[in-house]
This record gives sequence, C-alpha cells and structure tokens, in this order.
Amino acid sequence: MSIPQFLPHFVGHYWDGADWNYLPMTHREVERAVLTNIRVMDTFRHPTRSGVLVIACFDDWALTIPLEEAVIRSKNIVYNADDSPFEANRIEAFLRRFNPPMVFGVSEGVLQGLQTMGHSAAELFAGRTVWCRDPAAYRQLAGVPEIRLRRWQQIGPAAAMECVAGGGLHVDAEEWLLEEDNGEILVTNRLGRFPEITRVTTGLKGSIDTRCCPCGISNPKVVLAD
Amino acid sequence: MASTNSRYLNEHVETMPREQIHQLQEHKLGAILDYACERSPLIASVWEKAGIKPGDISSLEDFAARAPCFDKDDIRAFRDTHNDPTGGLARLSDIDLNKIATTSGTTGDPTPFPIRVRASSDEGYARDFWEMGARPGEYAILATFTFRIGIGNHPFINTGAVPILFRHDPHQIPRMADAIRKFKPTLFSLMSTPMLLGFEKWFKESGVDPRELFAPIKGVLYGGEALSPRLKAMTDRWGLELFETTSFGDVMSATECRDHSGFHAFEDMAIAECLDPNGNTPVADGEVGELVVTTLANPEVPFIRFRTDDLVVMNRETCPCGRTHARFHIRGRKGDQIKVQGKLILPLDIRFAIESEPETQGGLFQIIKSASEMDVLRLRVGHNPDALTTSSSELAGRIESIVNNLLDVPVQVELTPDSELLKLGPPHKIPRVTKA
Repeated sequence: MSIPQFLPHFVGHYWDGADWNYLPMTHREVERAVLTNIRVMDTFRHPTRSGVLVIACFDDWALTIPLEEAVIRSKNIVYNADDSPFEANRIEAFLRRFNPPMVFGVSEGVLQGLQTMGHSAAELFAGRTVWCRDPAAYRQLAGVPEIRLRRWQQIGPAAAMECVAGGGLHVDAEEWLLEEDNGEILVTNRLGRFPEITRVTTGLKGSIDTRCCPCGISNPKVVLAD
Repeated sequence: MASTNSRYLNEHVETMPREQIHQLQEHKLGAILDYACERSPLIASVWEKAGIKPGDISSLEDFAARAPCFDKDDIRAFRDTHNDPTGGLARLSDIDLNKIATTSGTTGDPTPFPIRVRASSDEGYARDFWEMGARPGEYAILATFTFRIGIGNHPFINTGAVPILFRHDPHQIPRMADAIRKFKPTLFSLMSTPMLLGFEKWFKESGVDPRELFAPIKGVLYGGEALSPRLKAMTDRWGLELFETTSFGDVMSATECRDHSGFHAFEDMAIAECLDPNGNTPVADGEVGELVVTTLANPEVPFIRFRTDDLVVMNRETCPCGRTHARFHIRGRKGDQIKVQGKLILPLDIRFAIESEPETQGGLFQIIKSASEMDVLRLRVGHNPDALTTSSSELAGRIESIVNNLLDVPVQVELTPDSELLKLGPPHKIPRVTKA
C-alpha cells in the first residue's frame, strides 16, 4: 500500500512581517479552527438566530471559513460584504435592515467608505459587538461608548479572536505554540502540518497573556502593542 | 460513474434526454412549490393574489400557464411595505436559514436572497470546472471578485481540485504568477476585464512570457461582462482558453463549454423560460426574450418564476459538447434597453466599438438617457488622457463616427477621464445607462 497523500482543503495566506506566505489548510485543521471559534463566540451568549455580518476579502479563507461554519453551527445567520470602501452602502443596509448584533472584519477601508458615503460609523455600530481586523480601524472606533470593540485577525498563520472579556486575542494553544521574541510574536504549529510552521515571525509586536481569562477559555491571549 | 477521463462530471444528468429532464423537473417542482409557499411570505402572497395554490399545479405545462411571475421590484416593495429585510423571501426565525447574500446591486438597491452553504451554484460550477479541465489533486487559482456571497468551496470539494485563494485585484498578479509557478494550477477562476488589463500591463513591464507562465492552465473562467474581441485575441496569443460565465438568474451560474456556443443552464437545478419582456407569452428559441427562472435545487432561494431583467436568446438544441440542457446568449439588461429613432439599443451593441480605440480601450462608457425615446444617442465615454495622440474633440468625433456606422443613428459623445467614471464603481459595475 502506498502512503496516502493528504491534499489541503485550500491554500490560504499568512503575513510573516516581511512577506506573504502560502498557508495550506486541511479539513482537519479547518475543523479545529471552527471549534475554537465556537468556543470564543459562545462567551458572548448571543441568542440563536442572531445575525453576524462578516466583512472580508475573498482570500481570507483561513479566517472566514472557520468563522462562517462556526456561526452556522451555532444556529446563527451569516451576512457577507466585501472589505472595500465601495461596500459602504451594502454594509449600512445590512446593519439598518437586519440589525445584526455581531460584525466581524471592520477595516480602515470600510470606515473610509462609510465616511465618504455620509454614514456615521459610531451610530451604525452602536449597540453591537464589532471585531476590527486592523489597528487603524480599532483606533478609530476605540472610545465610542456604545460599541463593544474587539479584534479578529490572523497572528501569522494562527486565526485569533477576542472574547467577551477582551484584553487580547485568543489563539488555540493546542494548535499553535506562541512565543515572544524581542517583543514580536512568533508562532509554531503543534499538531503536524505540511509544510511545518516553526517559529515564524508575524510582524506583530505584543505580549502573551497566559493568565486565566474571565471568559473561561484557557487559551492564551495575544495582547497587541498597537 | 464517470472516470476522470470523462468530459462530464455527471454524464448521466448532463446528457440526459430532454424528456427525462422534464420528468425530473416535474418531480422536483411540487416539493419546491410547497416549501416556497410555506416558508416565503412573498411567494405565498404572490400566489394568493393569483388565486392559485401549489396543489393546483400538476405539470410543467400547468406551471407555465398558471404560475405567477415576480421580480426584484416585488421583493423590494414587499421589504418596504412589510418592514421585512428579507423582502419576504424567507423568515429570519426559520431554523433552516443560515445565510443571506445580496445581489450586486447593478439594477438598484442590492436585493437580499437567502442561500444555503451548499448551493446549486456550487454544483453548477463543479460541472463547469470539470469541463474546463479541473481534476482531483490538481490546484486552481480562485480569485472570485466578491465576498458578498461568502465562500463557495463546494465546486472544489466536488471536483477534488484544491483552490489557492486570491483577492480579485490586479495588485495580486505578481503573487498569482508565483503561485502558478509553484503549484502549476490547471484552472484560473475568475478573470475579468480589469484583471486581463492588469496582466497585460504586468507582462509588458516584467518581460515575463505569458505563454510560459500560463502553460499549466487548461481553462480560465471569465466573468463580469462580455469578453471583447481585443481581449479574446490577446488571451488567444497567451495560449489561454477563456470560458465566459454569467448568472443564471441569481439562482446559479451558467458557463460556456469548450464549444463556446452559449451559456449552459443546468435545467435539473432550475427551470429556464424565455418570456416576452412585457408579458408572460413564451418567446421562441432564437428570439430575444426575458430570462425567467425557477429554482429546483435551493428551496431556501424561493425564486419561482423570477423575472431576471436579463434579455437572452435561448437554444434548447443539444450542444455539440453532448449536453442536452438549455443554452442561452445574453443580450443585456431589460432596464438598459433604450430607443433611438425607433431603434432598440443595448450597451453591448456599443461596448466593443468603444474598446476598439486605444484611448478608450478600457471600455468605460454610459448611455445618457433623457427620454424613453430619443433622436440622438448620447454617450459619456471614458478615456485615458495619457493615451491621447490627437485632440480630444478629434477622438470624440472618431468614436461618434464608429458608433454611427455601426448602429445607423446620430451619436453625440462627451469625453471624460476614465478616473471619473471609475468613481461610480468597479469597471464592470458602472451603470451603463444614466439619466441626463
């Protein structure tokens, strides 16, 4: 019998601080990421049939496939929009008409688009949990009192999401080993991948918080410096 | 079961005799109608107004004669009058509902439509990708131009090919080239006019040989708008075979086969009718009519006799590829049709003429509509100021002459930089008809 070849489910990407790299993901790796997402999303205790607006680019599968699957398995409803300034009216329409309590993937470009089209991000996102995908968007929305602001992004190859308690992005510690090297977060796979990912840089400055999180999830959190 | 050498992913269904397609449609139709009337307030309302119940339909002939049609305006009207964000297509409390996507918004406000994760569009694309050459274990560049419908990964699950994801952006081209060299993908999905123009520029600047780079690619899915003769000739020189794809009435996709003789509409998953744009009278094959679709595969998308606004020419003869399902050619949007001195004109009648000139090869233009019937065809045409070799008034006159020779109506051209028209949206989504 020949040794079976395990083809990836898809090939995504990750940023190592200097360049983009390919990130092949198998079905098993996706499945583990789904379960991690469900755990983190459950900390918010949103009722089932809640709407979740996911704003992303098409090549974000490493983040979006596990997230959408987690949303659907949690009996919630996914709405999609592109991460683009041109999508401002679609995003506004989704928020006004469907009133989803959760919004993932707000970026600087999305905020620019909303502003250009005359929509107030502070008003649109009020009363919702909003996960930003870049520091610029996070900074712009920080301090708006009615928004429960969180982060959702890749830490190198690792998908990461902030829980209800905030204060850092949870990373699945069974899947990934996190290290800090001169203030930069490094990532190593633990469960066997092809190709192996060993101490890859992420270009992200921050620290690793291993204290017990009030949300009850035992995974460590990456606390980004910016 | 077909081997990987077979031309068809599902030979039995794709080459099924038309009588069997009709039987299959009838078998599926009853369940879809029951589901739609039960779960979609809009469909229930439309059928109630027509005084008909799903149980009254016992055949496809009954359906064609008695079932009411609806369109996007009905969805929007239901949404606004009932304060229902789904436009009455679904109930948000329905436990089976897991996703709501939106149309592009080309014809107005984006229309929401419920969709399930494994949709008929995925199954359709799986057949298309197989026809284009995708096989198990091979890689495919997947650069779909929008995330607004979320993720469709089942075409790849169904074919066994592995997608390499990219955003649909010409800035990604160097990295796409890297992926093509590393993974040797056999399929590229999706190419558009902006991507082709981006590749053209990149090949010129980088000195890379297109034929060498694209050597592993067996097929390229092309969409967004009709492929122009210039781009067709260019991709022929690159050694690429492009397969045009379009929407099959927002129910699923329809794509050309290797014979390039129309878009294949898989009728085991949706009923395709071609009706008089101003009524419900069927239009004969070969004549222009409005595409009207009924889903048979996605009960969550209750498009039951949905008027698509797409003007098409239908062909139900067996394709040279052996497929027995309907094919159609797109002529344009019903709402984009204008009348100049009694002559009906669609944007597609003009586009390729504009693209033929070097200064306007981006094909960006709008028809300026001032009345339901006009004496002069007024065009706003985008151009690249850096490419001007003569005065702009000479260019305007040249385009007026070309379009006049083509359509035999008076033409008036107003030039504007490409960058101004691109403020209205991506190139393939610029409104082609605008009010004066």
